[in-house]
Amino acid sequence: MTNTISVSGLVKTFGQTRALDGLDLTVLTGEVHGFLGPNGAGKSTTIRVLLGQLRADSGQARLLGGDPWADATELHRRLAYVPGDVTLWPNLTGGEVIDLLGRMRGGIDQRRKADLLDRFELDPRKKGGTYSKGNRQKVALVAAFASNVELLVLDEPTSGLDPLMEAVFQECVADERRRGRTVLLSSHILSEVEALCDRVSIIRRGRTVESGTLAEMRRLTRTTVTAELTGAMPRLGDVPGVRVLEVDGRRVRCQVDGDGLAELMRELAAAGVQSLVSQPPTLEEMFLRHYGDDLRAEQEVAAR
Amino acid sequence: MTTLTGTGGLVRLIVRRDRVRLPAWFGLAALFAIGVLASVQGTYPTEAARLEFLSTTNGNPAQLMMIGPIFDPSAAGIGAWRIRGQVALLLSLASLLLIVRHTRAEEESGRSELLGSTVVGRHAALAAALLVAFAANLGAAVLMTLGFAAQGLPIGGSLTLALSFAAAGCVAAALAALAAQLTASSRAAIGLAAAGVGVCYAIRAIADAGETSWLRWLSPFGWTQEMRPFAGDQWWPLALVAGLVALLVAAAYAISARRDLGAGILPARLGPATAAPRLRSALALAWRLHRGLLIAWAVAVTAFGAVLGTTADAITDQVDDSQALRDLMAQIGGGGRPVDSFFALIIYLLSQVVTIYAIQATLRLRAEELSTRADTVLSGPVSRLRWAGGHLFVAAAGTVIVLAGLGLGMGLIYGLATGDVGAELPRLLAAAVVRAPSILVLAAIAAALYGIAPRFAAPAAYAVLGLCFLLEFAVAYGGASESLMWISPFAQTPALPSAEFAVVPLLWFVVVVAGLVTAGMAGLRRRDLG
Repeated sequence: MTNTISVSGLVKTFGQTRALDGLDLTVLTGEVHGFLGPNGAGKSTTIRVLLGQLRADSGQARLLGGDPWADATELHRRLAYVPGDVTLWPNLTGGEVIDLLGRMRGGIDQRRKADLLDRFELDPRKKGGTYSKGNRQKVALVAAFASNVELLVLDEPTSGLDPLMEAVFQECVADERRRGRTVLLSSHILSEVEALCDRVSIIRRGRTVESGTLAEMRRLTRTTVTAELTGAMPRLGDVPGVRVLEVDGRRVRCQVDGDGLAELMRELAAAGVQSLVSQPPTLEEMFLRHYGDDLRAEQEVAAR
Repeated sequence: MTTLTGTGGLVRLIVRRDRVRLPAWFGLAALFAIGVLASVQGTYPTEAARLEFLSTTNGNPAQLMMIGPIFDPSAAGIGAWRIRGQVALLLSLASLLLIVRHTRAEEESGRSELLGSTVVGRHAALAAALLVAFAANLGAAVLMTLGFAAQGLPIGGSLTLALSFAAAGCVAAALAALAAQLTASSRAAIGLAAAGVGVCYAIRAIADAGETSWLRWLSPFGWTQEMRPFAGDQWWPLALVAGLVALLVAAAYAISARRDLGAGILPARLGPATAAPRLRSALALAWRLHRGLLIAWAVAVTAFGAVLGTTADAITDQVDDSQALRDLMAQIGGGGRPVDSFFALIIYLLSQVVTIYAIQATLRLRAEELSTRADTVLSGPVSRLRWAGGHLFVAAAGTVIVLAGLGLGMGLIYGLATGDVGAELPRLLAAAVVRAPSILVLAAIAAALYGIAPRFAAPAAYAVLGLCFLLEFAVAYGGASESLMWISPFAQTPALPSAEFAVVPLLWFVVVVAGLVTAGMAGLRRRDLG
């Protein structure tokens, strides 16, 4: 079995709202999978279906080889979940919550717990009611990272963490990957996803619009190339896939589709290259490309 | 006064948010006062009976401790005495919960941060909560004055009595305002304010029961008592109350001006860094979460039972003089020894109060789900049934413990008084615990609705309890047909120790509880969470 999570055609409606509208998601065993989408796209709904808290109206969902609704209890032995907004019991200390959750999942690695408390600089003696938002997140993160599970389901887990703690979080996820654990990471922070994830799924209005490795996704999107030539400027406009061409004397700047990059390089090399900068699209650019429609539509509505 | 900017808007927000809660607490407290005063007036029809009652009461330390002395042998005077403690405490509780809910609880949830960032002054939230609390108490006072006067009582005395209750509510509000500044959690603030009210009441109780009557001047309940409605109508104690309220509010503002948002003055205590070995399952967590509420109820009910144990004989003597009360007891408590009828009646009434605990504890499920804390537990290898079962088990066991506490308190103290603990303790313990199945029927209604239609669980469960309670009054005072009583599981339970034990109704209750809980759990398994 190589798929830890496989979801296809998932539909979930709440009254009139169609929160999930045929969503697909495949998470391979041992990978860190980024789950991206704007607010309200259906990320948390998908995760709650996977955790057996919501029952899908139609579609298939498999998690760790089982049915997330019917086999919830057994499957939960093998996963740990961190919500985006952790609420704790006001009269239990952080340390008590970490131990309780770990024990319910079948044991906690005390050395690892101590190490994590240290790295996240968390005081486990404080009562749940007195922690700040960031510290409540840390309690859930320590509980998840310290337990011996195969899958981590993290739903915007770093909201409220400061940049230093964000770095610690990234180290911890990298550690988890080295141990061969699977991570589903829903996030808004694109740099975090770019740094951590092997593969990414981008969803929008309850559907998956793109899924694959970052490299694959880049091939499908445009690279920005800036070059200074020694020889005569070739007719780059004829090269298939080249867009937004700007020529200024010997300098040229253009965007090129993944498929046209090789041809463009041949043309440039033939003309003699003095300097060359090639920028792959950032995740942010890919992300915005998908939501450009939404943004434009919103602007139109606003203009009216 | 820029620190008060935005108070008006916040007042409207509180009134909007509490549009049901405010009339429910303050309106029902007023109706309770009016209703009980009306019913008590008919209890002692003759001058001689009233004088007799006055002299026994004023000579009974237990009665003096619980309520204080009767000042006037008129029907109005005895009625005012009867409701004095209960209504003052009820309004105090309503006021302190209102204040904490709109000050410390708001800060704790982070909502006041959001509001505070708009054009709202630093003291506006406290000022708005106090304004609403004072207005609600005065509103209740107006309602009570009209209700008392409508019974034909002198308007001056009616107003004095109503204002003495409102004054107690205002003191509690001011006390809660201060407590909310001192502690960082709303639970602690409620605890501190309630303890403050309790200490004030206890000081009055000690002053009235013993030789140290000067102590009463240390308690606001002592002052409001000195207003003597229908017995001279004194208004000057209101000046003392106003002074105390002003002092407490000034202290609250002074602290509010110095502290950070979200912080208290009393430091938050640290707890254990690791969990005790027992804390390893959903059931253990449920027990831990219910423990505080259960201990508080058990202690309060046991103490109350003990107090009743000391006064049982004195009260029974009084009852002998009152035909109306004798009839009521015979109707609910059955025949036999008068003191047994008294215990049966009291246990019957208190079982309805304990039902509040059972419903509260059951609805903890809903609170856990709404706060998403349930998600945290259920994302572990814990099935919904195991999770809900843990809470329901603790709620049911807690109900039995609270009832056992009641029986224990009564049986032990009454047994010590009569010198026969061996006989009284088991009888009264059994009389209290036999009430558990009927209470659990109402808790099971809450559990069933929680599983099937969670939104309606709380209102429906409390509505059924209220209906059973009203049915009581309707049958006892309003002339409603006694045959209606079969609806109430409380009335169907054998009224030990005076009535005969009967197992059939109890078995029925067990069947009903099992059916309701099964339906609720089946619903919970099928529905979406959150």
